[in-house]
Amino acid sequence: MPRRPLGQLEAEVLAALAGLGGHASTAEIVARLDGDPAYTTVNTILHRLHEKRLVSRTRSGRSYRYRLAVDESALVAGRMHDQLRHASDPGGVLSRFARSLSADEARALREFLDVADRPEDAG
Amino acid sequence: MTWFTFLPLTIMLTLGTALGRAPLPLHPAWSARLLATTAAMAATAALGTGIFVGINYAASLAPSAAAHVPEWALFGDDRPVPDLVGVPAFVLTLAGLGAAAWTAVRWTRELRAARTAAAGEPLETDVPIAVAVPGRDGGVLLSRGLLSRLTTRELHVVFQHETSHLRHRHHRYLAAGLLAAAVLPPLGALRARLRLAVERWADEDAAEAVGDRTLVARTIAKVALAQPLAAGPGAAFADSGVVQRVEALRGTAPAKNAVTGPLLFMGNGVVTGTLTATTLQLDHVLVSCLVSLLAFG
Repeated sequence: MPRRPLGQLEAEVLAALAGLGGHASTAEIVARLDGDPAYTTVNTILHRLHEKRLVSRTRSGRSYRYRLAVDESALVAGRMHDQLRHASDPGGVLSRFARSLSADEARALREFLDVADRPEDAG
Repeated sequence: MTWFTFLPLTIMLTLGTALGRAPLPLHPAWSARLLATTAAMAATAALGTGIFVGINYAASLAPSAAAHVPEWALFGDDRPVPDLVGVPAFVLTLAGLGAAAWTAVRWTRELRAARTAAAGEPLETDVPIAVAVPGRDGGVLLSRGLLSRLTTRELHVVFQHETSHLRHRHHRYLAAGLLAAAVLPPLGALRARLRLAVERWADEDAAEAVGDRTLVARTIAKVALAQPLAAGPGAAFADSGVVQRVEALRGTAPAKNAVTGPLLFMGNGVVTGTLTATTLQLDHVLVSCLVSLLAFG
């Protein structure tokens, strides 16, 4: 069976899991997600992620605790590296969310982020 | 053959270069549509002119073979094409066709690689990457670095942006730009302008979906800053367009141009379409069809 691409909720669950320090129960993940998804939905997604071997789980009482199964600093190797090279090809045909910056652009963006962050720090 | 043969292509090239110079005062969606049409038409006009001059040059070299060529494919007058025009036209057309073919190959190869990647897990890298992979088995390709770095709200922005690319089939716009720049190198600026318009379009869609322009701007800035710095000669000065996108999102949403957008788009379409049709001798085809209809009717 071909594996489906990572869906939005799957990605959000992974992000939530990463935000919770890499391991959490379903209830903790549900609490962290936007838009109040149903407990069973999140459970299904965690099950799917488990099948994709993106999370591992250990039984704790009547439920599972989930853990990010991949080391985030994992080396870029082999097949993945090849695809990454394609995906990041600057002359490429695909549109990337953001491209590499020149030094000047990086400076301008840092200034912008500093200004944008200020109201939050104050509040 | 007269110099007027090259007039449509010259106009298209001038138009394409001019459009690459300055941004259009339109909503990015209309800019992208207009620029993509111009790019596609310019590439077709260049190849059409080249092939047409090539056929006529061959006909001047071998008049006996020319008898087999349909009349509309030949110039109306019987003046031969001089070597000075024929040889460069022949060489340039071959080069253009080669560039177009190579672009198509690269395009297919890259799409296939991305589709394989999108079918699996997130990319194993700390660099935050999000790519929209078109096609039925496409989707949004994410990297581990993106998932771990962004909050769920920011991730939502990325998804909305990439979904906009997929929904509006932006890869076709990019393909038109790629083809135009490959066949006519002076149109590189037009291609860059088109690429930026497509990104801006997706940004505006994302901003509308999440209802927070600053959040979109911040997410773009955050992801861009986490990229490795541009490498290679000249790359440090290359414009990624990210700053322009962020600046645009700090302002108010652009007008939708519900009237001027379609009007300019159609006007441009009619002009470039007519010019391109002329280079393809479609007007002659039409006339010869009408004549034969009248003759047999």
